[in-house]
Amino acid sequence: MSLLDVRDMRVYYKTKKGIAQAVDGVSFSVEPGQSLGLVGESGCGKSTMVNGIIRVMAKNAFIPSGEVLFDGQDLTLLPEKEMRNVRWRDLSLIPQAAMDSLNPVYPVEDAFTEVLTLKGNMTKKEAHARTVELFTMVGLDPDRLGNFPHEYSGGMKQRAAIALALALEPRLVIADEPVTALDVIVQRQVLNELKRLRSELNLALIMITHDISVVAETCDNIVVMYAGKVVEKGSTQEVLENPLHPYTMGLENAFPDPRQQDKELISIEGSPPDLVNPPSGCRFAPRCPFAMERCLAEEPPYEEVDEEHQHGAACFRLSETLKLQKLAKEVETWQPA
Amino acid sequence: MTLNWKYIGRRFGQMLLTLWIIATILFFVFRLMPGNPLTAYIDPNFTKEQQEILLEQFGLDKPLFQQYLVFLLNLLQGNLGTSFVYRDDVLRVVARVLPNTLYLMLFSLIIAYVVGVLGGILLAWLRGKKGETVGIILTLFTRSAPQFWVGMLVLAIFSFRLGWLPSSGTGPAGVTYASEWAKFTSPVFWKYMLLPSLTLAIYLLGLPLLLMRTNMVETMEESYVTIARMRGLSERRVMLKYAARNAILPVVTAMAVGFGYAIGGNVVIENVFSWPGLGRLLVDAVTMSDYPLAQGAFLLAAAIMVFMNFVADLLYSVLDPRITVEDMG
Repeated sequence: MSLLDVRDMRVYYKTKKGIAQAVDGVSFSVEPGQSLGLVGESGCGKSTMVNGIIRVMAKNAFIPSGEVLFDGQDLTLLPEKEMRNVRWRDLSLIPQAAMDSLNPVYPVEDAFTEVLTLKGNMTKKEAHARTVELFTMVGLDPDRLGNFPHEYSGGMKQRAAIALALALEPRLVIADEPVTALDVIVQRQVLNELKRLRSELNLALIMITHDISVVAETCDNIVVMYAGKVVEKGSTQEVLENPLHPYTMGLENAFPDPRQQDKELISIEGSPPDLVNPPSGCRFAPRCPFAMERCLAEEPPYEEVDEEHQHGAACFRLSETLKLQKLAKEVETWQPA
Repeated sequence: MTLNWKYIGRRFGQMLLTLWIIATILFFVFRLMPGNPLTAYIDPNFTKEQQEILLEQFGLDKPLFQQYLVFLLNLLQGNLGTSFVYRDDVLRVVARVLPNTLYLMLFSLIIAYVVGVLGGILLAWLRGKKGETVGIILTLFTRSAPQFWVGMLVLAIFSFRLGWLPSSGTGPAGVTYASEWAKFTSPVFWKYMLLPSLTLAIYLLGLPLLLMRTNMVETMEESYVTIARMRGLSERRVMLKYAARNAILPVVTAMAVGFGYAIGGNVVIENVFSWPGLGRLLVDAVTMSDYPLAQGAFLLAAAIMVFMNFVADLLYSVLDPRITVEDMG
């Protein structure tokens, strides 16, 4: 059984203009100890979905339908009080805003003591020992426990956020853009740290990012999202080497590849659609260089093409993949007609 | 938390400088007012000689600058001069009524800020619900209702109609308290203080309540609050330890500064309830042209205000670890 099985998940926002379908029928699963990369540009619904899974959402957000099976138990149906027990014990988070994820008026250790005593039923003494252990594990000096968050550097805060997420040894950690705010050198350190901890503690990880290179390095599987929908998923290697969906191809063009020094970076013209009135067909069609009439009118269903790598995509032109992959490498293809 | 004495010393120096400027302005404002300061006081039937003796007695025959220096020297020695009306040391006259004002101020402020902070938290918690709208309208009403009107209303209901509480003074006619302490611990005195302090508290309540609510609504959006919720902490803990604890900082400053303003508020309340305090003394001193007394009372009020600002700064640095000495330097 999968550790986390998200089925046809929807998270909508009530806005003044109408209902925004921020996450619209997303399905994916994570096996114990596995890592999954959730990729897509800003505003595609990655963070919204995470907030929906852990059920700490903006006031105007709601889950109209879908299942979030964690260990076979549907989290969307759990009463708030029981959900509170799941949070952090089974399922923790390295937040996107790790920079200001700590209460500014308390020493950093306080957040650890709080979680360990209240959620982990430890005594203060045990909590302190565990905190020292966690700090050492993520490469922070335990002497800095008594410092306030503003006395930490960005990288230190990020490490503290990781340590805090691991405090209760959860089975699943969701890392929401864990390295986006860091400089490249610290990014590398933090990513390596995460990788090491993952293999040491055998925890499952969902890594949310807009940076394909981060996923390529840390994740077993990948889910590509666009405008609230899954456009492609599969094993990381397969998806990156053999992309099926034009959006994935475009996304790859936008990132430098160290193996191809002369590769030209190509961006995808246009911007994601309005989620209050999404396009009636494929949501990517208005920006897709390969869109046909049918793509604009009808929504393509998700189809698996490679069972071994669980690789599939939601596109009407899956049969022409090789041709499209070739065309997608040309700059002219992506220029507006 | 270690206090930085160098910073406190510098801040204390700034406070003395401010007080000196205020004293100077007060001195010259009263001297620059038209007419001889003694015209209202000296009986026209006095002989020229008698008038001159009096002027000399009060040091008014000397040049203005010399008067100013004498005033400053006296001030440094804690001598605020002699009241024209009471024929007594200004400090002694003020000291007689100051405790009454302080009791009233402290008691009302504590009620207002405790209720205000809790009310602000509640309103923020009720955000978007009907209770929030009702609460805000009610608070705006208490904040904008004139103090004398609320005072009279309270008097009309609780004192004259229901007869529950006395209407004026600090005790029954003819009764004097043996000492300040006897007064402070006497239930009778508290019974007399209840109406004026409640009236003042109703007026003071609006500021901390609305300030707390606004700050709290802001801190509730902070990511550390959302993330605390994701850690599975109880809603009460998230609201109080995370949102409210961070929202309270400016309210604490407002409270310290509110002390200063409360003296001003007392002028109205003390008159409505015939409360023998600093505010009433001030009004009396001005109407009776008792300049040394008015000057002294104003100076004392200003000193309390400046001092409370100083306290507010110190409190802030204790409450918010992010404010360090370098920031404040």
